[in-house]
Amino acid sequence: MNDHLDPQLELMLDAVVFAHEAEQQPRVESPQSREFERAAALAAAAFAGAEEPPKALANRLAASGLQFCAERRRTLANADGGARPRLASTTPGFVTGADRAPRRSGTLFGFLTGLAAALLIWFFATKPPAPVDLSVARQQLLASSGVQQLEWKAGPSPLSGAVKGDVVWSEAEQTGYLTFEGLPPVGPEQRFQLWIVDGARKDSDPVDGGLFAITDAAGRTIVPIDAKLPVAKAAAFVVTVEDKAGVVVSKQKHVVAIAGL
Amino acid sequence: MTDLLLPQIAAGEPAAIDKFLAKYSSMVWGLARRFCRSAEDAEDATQDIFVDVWRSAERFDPDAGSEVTFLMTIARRRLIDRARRQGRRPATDLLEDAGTIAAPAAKDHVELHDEVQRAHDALAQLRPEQREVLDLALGHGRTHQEIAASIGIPLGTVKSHARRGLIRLREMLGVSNDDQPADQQKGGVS
Repeated sequence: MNDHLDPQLELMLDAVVFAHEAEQQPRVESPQSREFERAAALAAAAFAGAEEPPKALANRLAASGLQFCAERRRTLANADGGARPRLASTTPGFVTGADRAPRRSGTLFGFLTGLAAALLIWFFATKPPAPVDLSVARQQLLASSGVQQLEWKAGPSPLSGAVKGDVVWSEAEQTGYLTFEGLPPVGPEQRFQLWIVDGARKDSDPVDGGLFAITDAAGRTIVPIDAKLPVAKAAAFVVTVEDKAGVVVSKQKHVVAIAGL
Repeated sequence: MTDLLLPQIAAGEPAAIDKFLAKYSSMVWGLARRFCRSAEDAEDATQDIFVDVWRSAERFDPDAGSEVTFLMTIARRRLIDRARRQGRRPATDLLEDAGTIAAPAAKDHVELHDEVQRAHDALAQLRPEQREVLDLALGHGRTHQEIAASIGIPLGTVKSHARRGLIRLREMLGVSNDDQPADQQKGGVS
């Protein structure tokens, strides 16, 4: 085998393999150098193998991805039905009129331009705020420290169906999210109600965590926790079925999900 | 044929995020753990890599390369950027970084993706000294001086093994001249 390579090729190979070295000259872009870079990337993957990332990191990665998706959907929605099409529809004849006849004066043009700008400002000023993406909010909360995550267990009520999911609760933030899958919807006169058992209030009733409905038993539903009182030490979370107006103290006739007991 | 996830991510489909991470996060984390000087640094690097992947997803062109190549090219580039910013590690750091050195050998890996499996098989056909140098350089981010010191061969020999090994690897992987780089599809990423 010839021991000598073309000096340019040697430089290219060094720039790929030892690209991480601070003294190394950056790779010069070329089809051949890209081939070597691709081979190096696959080799790196083969050497690396698979190692499960820590749970906190996995949560942060998911949160960043969901955050990206939420922003991306807003961007795409704005691009599809955003300001420009709406502006055009509110100023009919502006373009065609200008095209059909020469502009009569700068004043008219300035007026129309000002009108368009005002409409644009009005559109953005009156546009409702984007809804909070609960998946993103839940993942962000999960990524913070000191957060409890408890799995749901089905309660004794036959209304519990095949409930699965979890509770994510931050004592520091006094906020959290319930995730449900397989919890059958209840009738129009009923609602689910969350109860938080506060370990620091042993002689008190559970704290009301809010009313909510499930509309899709097959899908995944995320519900924000709405604790009516501060919870010092959340020991358990219980979901009951109540009247649609909710109750102050549950008789626990239908307990459909329990977490943490 | 498996469903492509990057186009779904580019379209803002949250379900694709979970699937993508389930499929690839362990591979990126595995490389970052070996490449970075600490677990904390590896976590930051892994997060940077995936943020970059989300932002670059719309540039992915399935006709020009696979998702895993696209991902690992970005991963390697981001790790290289970090290593260059941080400068070369002193050799004493390496001795303390036993957890990184002790990462599992390539032959022990299971469930490799097709293309990565091909790379794994190709690497197994290299001369042992070429494979060892490439493992330390590409898989661990070691400098050629560190490699020379750790396996006791001259600097020039380290580079020679690396060059010959990469040439042979590219031949065996059959990378086409027409292939676009994964990270430069549809406009590229920096």
